[in-house]
Amino acid sequence: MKFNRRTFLKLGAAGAASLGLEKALTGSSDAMELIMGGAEVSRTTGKHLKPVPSTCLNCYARCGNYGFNAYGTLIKIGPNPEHPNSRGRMCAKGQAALNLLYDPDRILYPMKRVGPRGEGKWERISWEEAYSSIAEKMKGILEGGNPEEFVFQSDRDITTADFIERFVHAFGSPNAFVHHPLGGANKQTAQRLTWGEDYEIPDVANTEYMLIFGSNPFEAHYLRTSFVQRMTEARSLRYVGSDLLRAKAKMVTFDVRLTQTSGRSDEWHPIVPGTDGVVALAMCHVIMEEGLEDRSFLRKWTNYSPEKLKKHLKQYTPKVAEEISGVQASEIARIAKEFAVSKPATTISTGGATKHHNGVYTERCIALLNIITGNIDNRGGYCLPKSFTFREPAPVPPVPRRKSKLSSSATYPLAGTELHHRVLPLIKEGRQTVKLYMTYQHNPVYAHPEGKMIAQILKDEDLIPFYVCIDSFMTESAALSDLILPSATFVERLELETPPAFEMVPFVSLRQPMVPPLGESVQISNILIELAHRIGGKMSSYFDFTTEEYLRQRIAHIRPLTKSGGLSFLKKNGVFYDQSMKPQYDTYKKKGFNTPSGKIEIYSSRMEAQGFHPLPIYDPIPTHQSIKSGEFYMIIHQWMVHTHDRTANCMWLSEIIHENPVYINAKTAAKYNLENHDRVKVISKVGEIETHVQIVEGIHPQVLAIGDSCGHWEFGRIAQAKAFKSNDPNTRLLWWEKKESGFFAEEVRGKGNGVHPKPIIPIISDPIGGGQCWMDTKVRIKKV
Amino acid sequence: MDPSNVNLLYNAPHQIPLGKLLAQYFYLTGLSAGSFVVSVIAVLGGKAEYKPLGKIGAVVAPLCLVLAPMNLLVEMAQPLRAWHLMTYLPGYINLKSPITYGVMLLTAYPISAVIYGFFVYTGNMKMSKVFAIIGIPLAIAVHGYTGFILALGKGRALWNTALMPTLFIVSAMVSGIALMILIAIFRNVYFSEGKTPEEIEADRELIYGLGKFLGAVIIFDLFLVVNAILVLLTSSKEAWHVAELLMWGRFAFEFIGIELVLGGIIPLIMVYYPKTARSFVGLSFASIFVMIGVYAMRFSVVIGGQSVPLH
Amino acid sequence: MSHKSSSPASSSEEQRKVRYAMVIDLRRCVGCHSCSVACKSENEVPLGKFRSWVKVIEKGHYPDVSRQFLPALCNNCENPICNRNCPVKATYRRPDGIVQVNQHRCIGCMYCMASCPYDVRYINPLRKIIQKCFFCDHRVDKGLEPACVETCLGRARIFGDINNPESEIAQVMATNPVTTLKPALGTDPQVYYIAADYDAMDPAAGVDINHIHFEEPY
Ligand SMILES: Nc1nc2c(c(=O)[nH]1)N[C@H]1C(S)=C(S)[C@@H](COP(=O)(O)OP(=O)(O)OC[C@H]3O[C@@H](n4cnc5c(=O)[nH]c(N)nc54)[C@H](O)[C@@H]3O)O[C@H]1N2
Ligand SMILES: Nc1nc2c(c(=O)[nH]1)N[C@H]1C(S)=C(S)[C@@H](COP(=O)(O)OP(=O)(O)OC[C@H]3O[C@@H](n4cnc5c(=O)[nH]c(N)nc54)[C@H](O)[C@@H]3O)O[C@H]1N2
Ligand code: SF4
Ligand code: SF4
Ligand code: SF4
Ligand code: SF4
Ligand code: SF4
Ligand SMILES: [Mo]
Repeated sequence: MKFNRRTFLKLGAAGAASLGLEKALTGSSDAMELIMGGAEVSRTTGKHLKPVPSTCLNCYARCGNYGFNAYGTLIKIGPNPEHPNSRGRMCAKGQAALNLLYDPDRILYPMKRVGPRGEGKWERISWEEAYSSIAEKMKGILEGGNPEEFVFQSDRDITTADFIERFVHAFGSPNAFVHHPLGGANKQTAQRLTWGEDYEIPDVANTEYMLIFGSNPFEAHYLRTSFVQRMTEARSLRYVGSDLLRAKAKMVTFDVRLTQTSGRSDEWHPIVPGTDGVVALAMCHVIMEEGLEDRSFLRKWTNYSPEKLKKHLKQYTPKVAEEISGVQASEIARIAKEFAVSKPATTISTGGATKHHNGVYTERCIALLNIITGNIDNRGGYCLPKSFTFREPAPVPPVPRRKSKLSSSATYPLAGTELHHRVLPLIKEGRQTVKLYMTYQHNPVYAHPEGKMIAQILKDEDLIPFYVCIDSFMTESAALSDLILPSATFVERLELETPPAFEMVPFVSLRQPMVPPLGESVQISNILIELAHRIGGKMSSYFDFTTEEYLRQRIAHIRPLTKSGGLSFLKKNGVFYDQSMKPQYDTYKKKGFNTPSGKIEIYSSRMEAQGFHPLPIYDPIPTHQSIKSGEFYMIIHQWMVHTHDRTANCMWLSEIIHENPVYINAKTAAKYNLENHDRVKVISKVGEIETHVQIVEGIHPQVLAIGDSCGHWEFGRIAQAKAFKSNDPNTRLLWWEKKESGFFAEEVRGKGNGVHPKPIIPIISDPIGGGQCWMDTKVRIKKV
Repeated sequence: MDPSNVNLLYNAPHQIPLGKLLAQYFYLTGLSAGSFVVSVIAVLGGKAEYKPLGKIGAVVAPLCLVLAPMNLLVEMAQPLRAWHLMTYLPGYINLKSPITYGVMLLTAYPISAVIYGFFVYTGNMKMSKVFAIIGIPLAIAVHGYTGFILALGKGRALWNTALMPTLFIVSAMVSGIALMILIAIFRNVYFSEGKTPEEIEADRELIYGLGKFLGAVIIFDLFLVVNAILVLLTSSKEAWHVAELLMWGRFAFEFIGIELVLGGIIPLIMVYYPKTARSFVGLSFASIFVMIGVYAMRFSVVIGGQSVPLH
Repeated sequence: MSHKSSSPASSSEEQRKVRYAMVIDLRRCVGCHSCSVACKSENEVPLGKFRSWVKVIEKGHYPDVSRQFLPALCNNCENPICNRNCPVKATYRRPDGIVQVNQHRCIGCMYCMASCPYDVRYINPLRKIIQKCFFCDHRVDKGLEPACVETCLGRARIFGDINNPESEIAQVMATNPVTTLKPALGTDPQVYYIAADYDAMDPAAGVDINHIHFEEPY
């Protein structure tokens, strides 16, 4: 299908950017317009190139993409205009995946450690040797009768979680740590306890009011590209329904610092870290006092009566909230009323609200705003996620009877997920002896708090006698492994996805190789299938398929898809959804909510049973209560062009952001005699790091902010800001390595690739959700 | 408090297309033009005692001009394509570009200068005069065009002024005269065998006279520089920024310290203060200072002019 | 806005000159740098050089602060001083207004770079020729939108023929206040901005002019 601008606009009618578009929408013109997307011409021959439709995974938004090849080389990754979520757009990270595919430092062959662990001496081995040595080890574990001595950790993976779990369970071990949630465990736990889902989908394209707590979608939402494009639509004069032009939606943001989101909002309200809950509760209080709540919704669909709720909220007056959060009481009251009368309206909340010690409570307080105003699963409101569920092909290996001693279920029974950052420390504590530790796409040394301690655990051959790392790059963790298996990157893999749908019509999206895997790299599922057969016995019977057959069976139950051709349809088009289906709103009206009561649980008996407060409350963060002068709250943030630890070797991204100064308020800086670019030490109770200061106005005076993703000490030379000679002449031009002074040179700012902030973040968890408190570090600052 | 306090958080790096070699190119063409003009004045002036200067200039001028474009070739990204400049075909050459006039002048001027030199050395006064008259406008234009290169750099406040070509010509004169003085002194001291004491004395007087002439041109040059700065200070915002850079910013040392004080005011005093004005040592130092000063001027105009970001 | 009834293209319409231009609507820009990276990928722009980039500033005083963006690229000026100054006619304006460089003719004198008031040209350090944004002419010639326009997260970038009254860009320009960078210079830029911030447009705002880092050409 030829996809021109006009059809494109009709599909996403809300895309009508401006008044001028009215005409384009009505289709009154027959003027030639350029094709908006999904096509590419060769620069040398001028011919159109054939796209390979696939799905991005440079972050978890999983946008639709197209790969374009010329002479066997992938020359461009562009957006897929027919993808219902991302609709022909892609962020910087997605397009720079080309860099990670062709990173000269990629691991392309199985490698075995020679010399002491962590020394950096490797020997290339054959796959045959790799497979047989691992299979031998695993058979040995089976013979010992303790299959749980095999521990597998992969990153917060949605895509391969089921497959890896199948493998580990088939082996007989309960220790598969594969479900690591989006936006942290706390958000997911709060969501599950409240309305039985993992997350909400704010229907921003159709909303009138966006109330944002600690979220930065312009730079870093878990559905970023699909989400932010709809936010901008809501923010422009737009076409709604038939031919009505509406005013833009209001956007009010609470954040401790000025982000691209808060900096472009109608209002930015700086707030004391970890106090969003009390502000949300005070807003609920105002709404109920003013009688602006949706009583019938509360009565019918929640498990707590409006009267009792009103009484519970009495303690949270705007005045109380002002004292705690620093946000003016009058502002809280005004925003509350605006939010309540704007219909539809929705909140947006992610890490800033939930990566705290009180994350679960805070998220429940924010959710309450949507609940009492009845903005639940309605057009423009706070919606339930819509996606398909994939099936595990029979026979499904049974869940091992022995319970995992490393799992969160023992320590955090309410946690809706496994707590990754706890696994290795628990091994250190001696909870579980380990014979084989395996990771896939996961870099605990870099990604976990107190990374230095994690590195020591991995180095300790008594605790971890054998470590197999399945990755595409020499990560900080891979460097401490015994065997590295080269994994195909997402550009070269065959996988299925079904991310929550913004058009409220569930869809399936296929990831397929844009080029065959480079070198001898192999995709994870093929590695595990081969291993299963080599281990043999019962294990091989669970893996009696190829990856393609496995995927085919996973979607076999989705009737409209199989009717259209199933996997071959997806291979041709990249994405499938039922074109005749209307947007799915108000779905709870048919089947209720996925909670024990079938209703939204404002009152959570499950929390009560574990000794927590059953209602949404404000729970002060313990460490913050003792903050002294000279101490700061340090928060961490994501960079708009990076994803955690995985993108620093993409040169086009690192060229834009390669350093992470500590951001400090101008007045505070003056108080401490700091000038821009001064080198400072940031010191917490578990360590210190050195970086330079960036003085800004847009940050709370008591907060220091530092970005993630920088300061790699492995992961390849690009990530480490080192120029080098390779087949790609660009690697010689890596300019941010330069530090020399002189008339034409920049001031000396230390290493070109920034610092790694995690070593100074102590391991602390929210007692309910168990999620790491990334944003709760108390620090001091010292000029060097 | 500045109401529109701005913090720059991200921008693409600022580049300077024209580097130090270009400044050097400008400097050498200036020397060439300056010494040619001095030579011609000597020849046309008719006084017999000026003749030797005419000869020196006739050699120095083409020599500098051979060296100058070498700098350009090194600076160019595609030096092997330099011949594209010399096709002189209307479809290929852009007559609106000052570089085009430059190329034409750079062809015509050395040819005429060599012919002129030939006649000066063979003592053919009539033909020398003819080629002097042809050469003068060419010499001035060869240097003036470099001023136009900058003047037509639309976005750069320091360059984009009508004063720029004149300023370049006058400072070229300054450096040219200083070079001539140095060479004349050298000749007087080391190559005076076979000359009568009167001849040597006349030669000395000639050099002292040249010193006074240098002073006059320095005054004119300083006048132009002050003009330029005053206008910069009161013109656009960008202009103010450049003035800031030159007067008390990053280029203050080159501009105020070297160009104005060391290369202008100090030599000016030296050429009028009797003790130094009538001493070879004094005049030599004054000339060297002037030449350094003019080099600093080329540097601060070319590099300083580009150091204000455009985006 | 009147809805002209669509009529078959008359001969005069056929002869109408195409004039490509871009509008960047900063009410919609989120400062994501997707345009910059799309451009790098599409045009093989080497490290250290940009045909397109997004300037980000913060302005005001705590707590009254905002962020402003300014995506920048070659303006493909109607009256380009770079062309005027190129000695060998290597850079020229195509009939549709795109300012192009003949890569075989360019001698690399960098005078166009020095002349451009927006500093959007660069010497490709690998190929040693002058380059800049050519409005993705290789795509546009084949009927495709430029790469940065296609991928723009906020759909802030609108590209097309401003001489065609039916085009989206012409209509957006007709109904919104637009501005260009440094209009006083008379270069007549063909990249138009909606709601661009004055301070973001000022190259010196927020810059310590005495400490600015600058790069030598290549
Ligand atoms: N570009 C990019 N996008 C990503 C990712 C990435 O790494 N890079 N990662 C993806 C993943 S896995 C996740 S979980 C999401 C995370 O997405 P987000 O949660 O949106 O991003 P964060 O940067 O973690 O935090 C958001 C904001 O919270 C603010 N904040 C911190 N503490 C507080 C507080 O107490 N109160 C308030 N109101 N604000 C606070 C910070 O200043 C920050 O701006 O992003 C996803 N998308
Ligand atoms: N300081 C701080 N730290 C945080 C957070 C925070 O807010 N602040 N947030 C936390 C959150 S929410 C999350 S989700 C975690 C995420 O942190 P991680 O779980 O570490 O996730 P990723 O960064 O996605 O990287 C995982 C690994 O995948 C490997 N990899 C394998 N295959 C591929 C491939 O095909 N492509 C790419 N690009 N990489 C591949 C990469 O080498 C990389 O090392 O970080 C947490 N860490
Ligand atoms: S938001 Fe960007 S990185 Fe994430 S999936 Fe989409 S294109 Fe890829
Ligand atoms: S922006 Fe600069 S390079 Fe581009 S056309 Fe205008 S003057 Fe020329
Ligand atoms: S660098 Fe090339 S395009 Fe630019 S002015 Fe010189 S010859 Fe013309
Ligand atoms: S139009 Fe093409 S060349 Fe120009 S900035 Fe956009 S992507 Fe780059
Ligand atoms: S891609 Fe669009 S929204 Fe993103 S920075 Fe560029 S112009 Fe702005
Ligand atoms: Mo996350």
